[in-house]
Amino acid sequence: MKKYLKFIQISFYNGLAYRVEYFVGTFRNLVILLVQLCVWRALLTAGSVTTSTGVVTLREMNTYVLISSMIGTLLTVNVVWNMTDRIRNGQIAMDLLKPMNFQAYTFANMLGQNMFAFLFQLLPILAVGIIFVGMNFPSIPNLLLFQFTMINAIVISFQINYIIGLVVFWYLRGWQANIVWMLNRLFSGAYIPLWFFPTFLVTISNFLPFRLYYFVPISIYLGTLTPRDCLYAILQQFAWMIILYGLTMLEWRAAMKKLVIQGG
Amino acid sequence: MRTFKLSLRFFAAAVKSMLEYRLTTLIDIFTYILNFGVGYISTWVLLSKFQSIHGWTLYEVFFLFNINMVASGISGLFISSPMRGMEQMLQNGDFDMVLIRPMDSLFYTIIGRPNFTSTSALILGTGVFILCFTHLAIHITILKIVFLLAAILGAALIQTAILVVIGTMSFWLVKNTATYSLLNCFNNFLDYPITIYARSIQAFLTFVIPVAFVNFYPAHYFLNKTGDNLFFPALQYGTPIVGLVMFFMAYQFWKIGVNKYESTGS
Repeated sequence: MKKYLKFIQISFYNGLAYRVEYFVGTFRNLVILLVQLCVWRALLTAGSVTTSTGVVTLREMNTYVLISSMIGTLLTVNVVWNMTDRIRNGQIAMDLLKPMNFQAYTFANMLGQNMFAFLFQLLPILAVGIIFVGMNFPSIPNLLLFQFTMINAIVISFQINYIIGLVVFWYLRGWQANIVWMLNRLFSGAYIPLWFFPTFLVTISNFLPFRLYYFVPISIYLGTLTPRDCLYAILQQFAWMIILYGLTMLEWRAAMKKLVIQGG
Repeated sequence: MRTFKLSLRFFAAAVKSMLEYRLTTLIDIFTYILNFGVGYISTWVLLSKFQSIHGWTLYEVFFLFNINMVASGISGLFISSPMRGMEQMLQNGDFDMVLIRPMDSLFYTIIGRPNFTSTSALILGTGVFILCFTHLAIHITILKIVFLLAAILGAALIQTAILVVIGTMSFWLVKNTATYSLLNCFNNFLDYPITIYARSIQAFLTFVIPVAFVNFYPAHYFLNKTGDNLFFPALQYGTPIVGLVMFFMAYQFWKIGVNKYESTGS
C-alpha cells in the first residue's frame, strides 16, 4: 500500500513538470465552458424548458455544465496514452519485473494526476462558476451521495481506459480509443443531458456504462433523481465495476501470453 | 510549373508509402468519421429538441459546422503533420536538410508529408454538404457555388496560417503542444453561429483571431441569413481575402523563424 501512495506522490510531482500544459489545459477548459454556457443561454431563451423529467431552468443547466466540466478534468487523464507508450517502447518489461501490480500502479499514477488536475483545473472552474456564472448547491445528503458516486465514477472511467489501453498488446496503434471516446462523448451526457435525448438513444445509453460517470452523478447533485433511482444507479455502478474488473483480468491474462517486447 | 510537377511527385510518393499500410489507414479514417459524426449527432439531438439556435435551424448549423470540417480537412491533410512535427525536426536536426534544398523552405517542409486520416473530414464533409443542399431551400446560382469554393479555400488558408504559426513557434519554444492547444482552442467557438456569444467575443473572433471568417461569415452569405447584427455587412464576403492575408502574414513569420534558426549541430 505504502509504495502505491509513493507512486501517487511521484505522479503528482510529475504534473509540476507539465505546468504550462496544465495552464493551457485550464484555459482551454474555460473556453469550452464558455461556449457551452452561451449555447444553453441561446437555446433556453424562455429561461426554462420542459423535459422528460420536469422543468429545467437556465441556472440548473448552467450548474449542469459547470459540474460536467469539473468532472471532465478528473476523468480526462492520460491513462491510455501512458499505457500505450509504456507498452510500445518496451518500458512494460521493466514494470513487470518490479514487485507491483501493473493495474494498481496505473491507477495510482492516475490518482496523482487527478489530484493535480483537481487543484489546477477543477478549482479554477469552480471559482469561475461561483463568481461569474452562479450555480446551485445541493442538499447535504445529495452532496454526500454525489461524492460517493463520483468516487465510483473515477474507478469505472479508469477501468474503461485500462481496457482500451491493454488493446495495444494486439494492435499497436492507440486509435482504438477513439471509438470508445466517441461513444463516451455522446452517451455519457457530458455535453447534452440525457433528458434531452430521443427515447431510443436513452435506451441505448442504459445498456452502456458511460452515463454512470457524468449524467448520474450530476443528476444526483441537481436532485433530479428519486431516492429509489439513486439506489438503483449506485447498484448499477457496482455491477459495472465488477463486470469491468472481470474483463481487465481476462484481458491481462491474455495479454501476458501475447506479450511481445519490441526491440529488447 | 516545376513546383507543381514536384508536388505531384512528392504526393504520389506519399500515397505509395501510405498504401503499404492501407488497412491501418482505412481503420483510422473510419474511426475518425465516426468520431466527427458524433459532433453532427449531438447537434441533431439538440436541435431536434429546440428547433433552432439564434434563428439558425438544424441544416443551417450543419452547413456552418461543415465548412469548418472541410476547411480543416484540407489544411489537416497537407499542413498539420509537418507543422506539428516541427519540434521533432528541429530537435533532431532534420531541418538542416530542408535548408539545403533548392526550394522554398516552407514548401519543402510541407510537401510530401500528407496526413491521410484527414481525408475522413473531407469524405464526411462532402456527404453532409449534399445532405444540406437537399434539405435547405436555397436558390443556388453559379456565382454562389464559385463563392462557396473560394470561401472553403480561404477558410483552409486561415486554418493553414494558424498551423504555420504554431509550427514556426517551435523555432523559439522547445515544445509546441501548448501553443497548439492554445491556438486551436478558439476553433471551439466555431461549432455554432458566433452571434450566440457576447459582442466582445464576436469582435475578438472577427478582428483579433479572425476564425469567424472560417465558417460564420461565408455561411451567413450563402444561407441568405438576415437579422444577425454583423459589424459590417461586407464582412460576409471577406473569407478569401482574409485567408490570403493571414497566410501571407504567417509566411512572413515563418521566414523570421527560419532566419533565427541555428542548427543543433548534430
